Amino acid sequence: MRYKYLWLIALIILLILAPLFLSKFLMVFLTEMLIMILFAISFNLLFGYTGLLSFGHAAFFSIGSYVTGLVLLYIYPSIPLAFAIGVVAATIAAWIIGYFCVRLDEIYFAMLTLAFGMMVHTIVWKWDRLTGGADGLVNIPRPNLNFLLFQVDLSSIASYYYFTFVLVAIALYVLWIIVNSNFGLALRAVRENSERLQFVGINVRRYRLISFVISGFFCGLAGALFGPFLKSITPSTAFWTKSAEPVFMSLLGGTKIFLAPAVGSVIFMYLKEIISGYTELWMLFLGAILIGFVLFLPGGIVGFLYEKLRGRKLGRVGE
Amino acid sequence: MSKKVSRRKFLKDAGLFGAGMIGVPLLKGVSRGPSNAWAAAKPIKFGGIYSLSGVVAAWGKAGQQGAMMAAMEINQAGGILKRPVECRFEDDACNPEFGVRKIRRLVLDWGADFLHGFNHSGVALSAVPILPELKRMLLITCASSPAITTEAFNKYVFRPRANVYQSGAAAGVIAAKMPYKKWTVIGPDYSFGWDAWGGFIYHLLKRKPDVEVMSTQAWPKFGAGDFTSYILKVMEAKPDAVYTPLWGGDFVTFLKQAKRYGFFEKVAVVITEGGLAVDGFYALSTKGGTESEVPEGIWGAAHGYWFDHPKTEKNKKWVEKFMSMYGEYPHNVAHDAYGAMYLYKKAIEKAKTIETDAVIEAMETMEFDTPGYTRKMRKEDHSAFAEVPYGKTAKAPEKTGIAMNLVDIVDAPGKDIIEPIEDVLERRAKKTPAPWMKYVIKG
Amino acid sequence: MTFSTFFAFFLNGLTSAMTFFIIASGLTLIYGVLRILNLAHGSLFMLGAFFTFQLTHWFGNFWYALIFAPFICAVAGVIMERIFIRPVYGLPIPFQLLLTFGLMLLITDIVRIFWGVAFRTATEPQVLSGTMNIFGVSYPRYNIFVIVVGILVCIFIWILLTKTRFGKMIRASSSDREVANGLGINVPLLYTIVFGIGAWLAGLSGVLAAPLRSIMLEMDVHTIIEAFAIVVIGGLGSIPGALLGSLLLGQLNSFGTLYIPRFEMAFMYVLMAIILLIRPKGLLGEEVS
Repeated sequence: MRYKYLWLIALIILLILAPLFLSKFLMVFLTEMLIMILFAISFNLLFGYTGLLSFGHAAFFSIGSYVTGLVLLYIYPSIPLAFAIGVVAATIAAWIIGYFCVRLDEIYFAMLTLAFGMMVHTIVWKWDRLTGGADGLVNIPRPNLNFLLFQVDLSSIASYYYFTFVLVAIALYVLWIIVNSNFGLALRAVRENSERLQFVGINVRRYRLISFVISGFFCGLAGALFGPFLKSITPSTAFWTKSAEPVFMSLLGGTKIFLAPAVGSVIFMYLKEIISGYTELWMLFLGAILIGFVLFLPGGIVGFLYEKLRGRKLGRVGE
Repeated sequence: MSKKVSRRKFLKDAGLFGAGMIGVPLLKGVSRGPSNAWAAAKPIKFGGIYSLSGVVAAWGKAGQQGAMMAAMEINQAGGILKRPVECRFEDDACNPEFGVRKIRRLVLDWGADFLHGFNHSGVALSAVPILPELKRMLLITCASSPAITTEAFNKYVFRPRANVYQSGAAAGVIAAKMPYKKWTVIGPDYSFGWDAWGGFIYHLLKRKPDVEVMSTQAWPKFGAGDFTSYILKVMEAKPDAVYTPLWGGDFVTFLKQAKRYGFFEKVAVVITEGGLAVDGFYALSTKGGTESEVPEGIWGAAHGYWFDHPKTEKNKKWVEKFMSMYGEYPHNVAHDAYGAMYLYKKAIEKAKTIETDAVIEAMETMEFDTPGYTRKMRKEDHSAFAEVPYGKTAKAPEKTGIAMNLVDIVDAPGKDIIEPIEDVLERRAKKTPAPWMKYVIKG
Repeated sequence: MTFSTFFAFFLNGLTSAMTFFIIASGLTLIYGVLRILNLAHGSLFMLGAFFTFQLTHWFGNFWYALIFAPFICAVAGVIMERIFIRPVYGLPIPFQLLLTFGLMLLITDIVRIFWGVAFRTATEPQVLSGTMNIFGVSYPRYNIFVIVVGILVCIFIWILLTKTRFGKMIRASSSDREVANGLGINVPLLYTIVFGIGAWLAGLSGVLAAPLRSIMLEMDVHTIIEAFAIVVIGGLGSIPGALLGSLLLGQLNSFGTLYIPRFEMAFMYVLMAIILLIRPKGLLGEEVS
């Protein structure tokens, strides 16, 4: 009975056909949205599935962006090489930062990730000989992709959209497998009752760290995609408000269902890009929506719908 | 008071509040009533991106004012190629990410045919690489880091005004005549700040090799808000003279705070590239505009244009018209945005089409007029032979609202101060850092 | 370095330490009693600064701002607490953060509606302008005023918490809400009042800071992160900790410009991380249950 995946297949087909009927503006919008969806869902691996709230995840996103950009600008203009190095850099950073952070719980974990995130922000901002300082990296090239035997021209809006779509789809699929594996089950157990697990002899810290690192890996990938998309990177990608974005995208959409943060991303991006075309006051709407969700729909949109349709309670994060 | 009311009403009628849709300017004021052809003609869309919010909001507003004034005049005179001009403005909030988004929005969503703008060099540098994908021209009306036409250059970007290499050369001429040896800087910590200081010292050292570039320098972040520690640091180093690329609200805040510590008594001379533009004077005027907090004797270029100079009929008339429209003296960005619109008009009419490549070709070698000056584009890097004025502050109660004026203004000639094209091309090809960066010392 | 320069830097550090302390004490007080991490605290600070601009603009009198603006912020805080924050007591941290983040966005755009997007300045009152002579150093009078007010606020909080019955109620409720309830303390009302006090402090800090810097829309996101760092370093819920943290950060900002201009801010986050790893309750904090 695979009918529940029908909507997913329809969505994928729509996304593949998008350049045929969407304006260039909407394609650019969609590209960025896909990047943010990857960011949010990778973040949610740590948040919804492992139960750890990180307020510094922009660190891995920005490291992925900056390193990818630096490789493209100064080492060698090759997308696969730059992306690989960028993602590896983000993963190593996640390993180091995660090593320290998973020792702590709850609010202390959040504060420590915040501290590390702002440390990264200060470094990318102040190390201006390397990173360009406040202006950041500019003129990031988007060279043709030499993949196997193909040469793909990434310079157009449509082609970069497809490139992003393919990478994000693959990444999400891999995450999906991880989440549904035994490892994923263990993570959920860690989230629910870490004390009990420790008594049973399971190294809770190790599971948390692995989850942290995987999350960092995919956030780094999202960051890598972001650089050539904008053709520039600035320190604002590492500021704490950027770290807050996947937090509320996950909470808005729902943290207990794999694709739910994507819904939160759509809402957020819609407000930021589309609403801000009509009024400069998009933050008012976003703020009101966030408040409304916390007060009335704490399970997120998808969580709310899920409970309504299935009559089953999902429970809220942190419970 | 009444002047302010009528100005507000005028601006409101023109839809000039904040960013957003401006529409076809002043169609209802047109004396020759719209003919059918005019009403049916598809407008040419000009998108402007300026910093309309934040520390330098006044500079963004000036861009709007200048461009709108030009657009209205152009429409009154029959438009360009018999098509009306339509304007829309977006706010980049001094944020490079926003700059990229808004430029894409203006072209892909609104359908801009031509672009102008950018106050902040960092934002401009992020936006310029996007132009080839959009295939649209951008006229830079304010941002003055040389990198925009060197390292980041592509054929779509034009800068019909001076950059800080040029204004640095002009300042170097002035400073070389002074007896001061020990120079330092307090400037915003980004490309414009570094390039402005570096460009100035580079030229000063060429003329006066015994100048000492102090290693104690102050680089607060752009929009810092609190400069007191930096002011103390500079004063502690006891320089003879200070150069400051601080601009907009940063300069205003700096000046107020520096005065508290007696900065201008302890330091002999201060040169500021853009700090004393007309918005700074308005912000620092006191007692209803009859007095000013600005000390006398500070040298400034007002970022390339001061309304009271040159004292030509054309300039005077333009300033009067601007004053009657907006109730204030024109800012340099207003002057350059106004000039940019007319440059577009001239190039489009020469090319007889709005096709980007044709207009580029027409504009590349064009000589053009602004209310104050005559300038000429240079083909290889789309920068301009432009004069840069430098004068010093003096009390002037007759200047309503600001009570000060820049006097003894000397224009440095355009061809003397522009960077040699061989240097530009070499730097572009080899991707070497600019030779003046070594004077930026962060400690 | 001469003594006078050193002293000027020290006083600079003390001045910013005092503005930090006033806002951080409010934040830590709110956390200590209500267990709420208020991301909108920086927004209340920003409101205080904007109200200062407005009141000095209308009346030409800074003292009106000093007296009224913090109270307006306190009222705003009370409204915030009763309508928005009350429902989230007991909810996990992510929801608190999300809610207060939403409030922060809301307040930012409300400020944008009323005051537009340009930056503002406020001038100190005439009687406090100019410099005065302190130990042979010529230093701005207004900064000394800020330092004095900071010390007064310190004393005021100390008296409030230790010498008054109200203070005893606060301390009882922060250590054990149920016991406090059992003792007949009207906990919800107490929470509202404490939040109001915290908001008042944030507003006061904004008023004092207004003449020292430019007043702009991004003030909230930068201030809140500094306040958080201070509160974590000093100890969540500890007022003496907030004072210590503020003094540290104030001097770091001041002398850091001179000696380590590149990475001065990173120092604070490194310190924050070290404290969290080695002594999570903070330098002067008590055990947080």
